[in-house]
Amino acid sequence: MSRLKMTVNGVAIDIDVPESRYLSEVLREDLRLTGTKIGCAEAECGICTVLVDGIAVVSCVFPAFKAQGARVETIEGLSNNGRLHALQQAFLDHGAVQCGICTPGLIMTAKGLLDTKNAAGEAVTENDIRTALKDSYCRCTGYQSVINAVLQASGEEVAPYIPETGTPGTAVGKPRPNPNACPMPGYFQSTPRLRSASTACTQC
Amino acid sequence: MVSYWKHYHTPETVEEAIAALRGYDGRARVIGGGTDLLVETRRGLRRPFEAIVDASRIAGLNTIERDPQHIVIGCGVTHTQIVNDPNIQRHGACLSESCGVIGGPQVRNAGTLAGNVAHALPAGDGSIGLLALAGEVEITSTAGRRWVAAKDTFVGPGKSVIDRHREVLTRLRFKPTGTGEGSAFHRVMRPQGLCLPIISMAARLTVDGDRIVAANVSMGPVGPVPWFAEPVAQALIGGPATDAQYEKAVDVALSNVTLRTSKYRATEEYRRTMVRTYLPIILATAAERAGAKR
Ligand SMILES: Cc1cc2nc3c(=O)[nH]c(=O)nc-3n(C[C@H](O)[C@H](O)[C@H](O)COP(=O)(O)OP(=O)(O)OC[C@H]3O[C@@H](n4cnc5c(N)ncnc54)[C@H](O)[C@@H]3O)c2cc1C
Ligand code: FES
Ligand code: FES
Repeated sequence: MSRLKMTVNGVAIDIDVPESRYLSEVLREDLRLTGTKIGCAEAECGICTVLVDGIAVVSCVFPAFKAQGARVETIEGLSNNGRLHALQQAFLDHGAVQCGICTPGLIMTAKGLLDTKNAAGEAVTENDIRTALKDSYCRCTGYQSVINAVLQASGEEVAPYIPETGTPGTAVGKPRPNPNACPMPGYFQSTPRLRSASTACTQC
Repeated sequence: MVSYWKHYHTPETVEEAIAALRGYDGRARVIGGGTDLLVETRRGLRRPFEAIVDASRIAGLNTIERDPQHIVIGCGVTHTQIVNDPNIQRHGACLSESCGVIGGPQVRNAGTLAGNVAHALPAGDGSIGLLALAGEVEITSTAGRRWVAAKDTFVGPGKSVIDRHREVLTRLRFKPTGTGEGSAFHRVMRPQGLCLPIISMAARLTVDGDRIVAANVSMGPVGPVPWFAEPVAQALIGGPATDAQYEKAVDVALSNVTLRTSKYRATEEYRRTMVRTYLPIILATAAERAGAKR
C-alpha cells in the first residue's frame, strides 16, 4: 500500500492503495466513481478514457501511480450544480446516447480535444473530431450523431439528424435493387446468385 | 483485482532509475507508456513483475531537442508529441508518419517511441520510421551511457540488446533531413487496433538533380527483426529517381525477404503485392520531398 495523491474532478485525493492498481480500478473501486466504464480492458475501445493533466488516456491500462500528483478528470466532474456540460447537453440533443456504455469515454475524449483547441485559441473542425474519436468504439449510434454533438458543443450550430420516416403503417424506406441478385425470373430479386455448381440454375 | 506488479517507481532522474533497477536485480521492468507491456501482462502473456520502473517522467527526457547534428527525442516523449512536432514533420517526415498510425489517439498520448523500439517487434511502426532515418538510441546502465545504431538493437521478435530489467533506453536521435533529402512511410494494416501491420515500410533518399546519391530503406515484418534494407538501398544509390529504378528496388527487396502467411493478417502473396504496390510510392514520395527532378 502506498499513498496516491491526485486531484479528481477538482477534489484533492490522498488514499492508501496497492501500487499495482490501474487508474480505472482506483476510480471505480476505490473512489466509487463508476461513471468511467470498462469495455475491452486492453487499450482498444476507448470506453475507459479519462483526462490526465488534460490529456486523454485509456485508464484500463494506465497505472494509477503514473497519475501521481496529476489532475484527473472523469465524466462525474462535468456537470456543475446540476447543470449539464455543453458536451453532455449536445449528446442529449443529438440522440448521441443509446445504450450509453461508450458515452463517458466519448465525452471525455471530446473534452480533451475541445479543451486543447480552446487553450490554443483554435477552431475545432469536423476532421479534428473524427481524428480525435478514431478508435473510440460505439456499437449503437453509428457515430454521425456523436460527431454532430461534439460539433455543437464546440460552438457550431448543427441541426439534429432525424431519419426520414414514412407514413405510419406503410413500408419504411425504398427497396434497393441488389446488384448480386439472380437475374432469372422466378427468383426473388433479393436472392443472391447461387454460387455452388450443385445448386445453381443453368443460367447462373 | 489481480496485481501484475508489486511496486511502482517513477524516478525523476536517470541515476534514480538505474539505482531502482539495480536494487531489484533483474526482477523489475522498465516501462514508458505501458501500452505494450501492460496490455500483454494483462492478457496473461507475461508473468507479473516484482516492480515497474516508469521511465516516462524522468526530468529532461520529456522533450524533443536539437543538437548541432541531430534531433534528439527523450524516452518519455509520446507519439503524440512526435506527431505534433513541426521540426520532425519537416525533417523526419517518415518518423512523424509512422508514429501517427500507432494505436488510437489515447494510445499515442501515452505510448512512447522508446517503448516501441525497446519492444523490438518485427513491425513496430515507430521502429520502421526511425530505422529509415538511420536512427540511434542511447542506452544507460550502471556502466554508463552508450549510443547504438537502432538497427543493431534488434535481436529477435521482442528481443532487444537492451536489458529491459537493468538498462534504460534514455534517448533516441537521428540526423534531420535537409536540402536534397526526403523521407516517407506507409503501412498496410487491417483495421483491428491491437494487431500488427501486414507490411510497414519507410525510406529516406538524398538526391542530386535526378540522381539518388544516398538511400535508407526499412521494412517489417519481413523476418525476425525490423529490416534495415541495405541491399534495397544499394539498388537505388547511383540510379535515377524514376519508377523503373524503384521497380528494381522492389525486385531486390522481394528476393531478400521472407514474407509469411499469418492466419489472421495476410497471406504471403498479399504481402508481396503490397510491397510491389507501396514501395515505389514511398520511394517516389521521398524523392519528391527531396526535390528530385523528374
Ligand atoms: C490498441 C493498441 C494499438 C496499437 N497499435 C500499434 C501499432 O499500430 N503499431 C505499433 O507499432 N504498435 C502499436 N501498439 C503497441 C504500442 O502502443 C507501441 O509499440 C508503443 O510505442 C509502445 O510504447 P510504450 O511506451 O507504451 O511501451 P511500454 O509498454 O511501456 O514498453 C514496451 C517495451 O519496451 C520496454 N521499454 C519501454 N520503455 C523503455 C525504456 N525507456 N528503456 C528500456 N526499455 C523500455 C518495456 O520493458 C517493454 O518491453 C498498439 C498498442 C495498443 C494497446
Ligand atoms: S476498456 Fe480501456 S480501452 Fe477498452
Ligand atoms: S451508445 Fe451503445 S456503444 Fe455507444
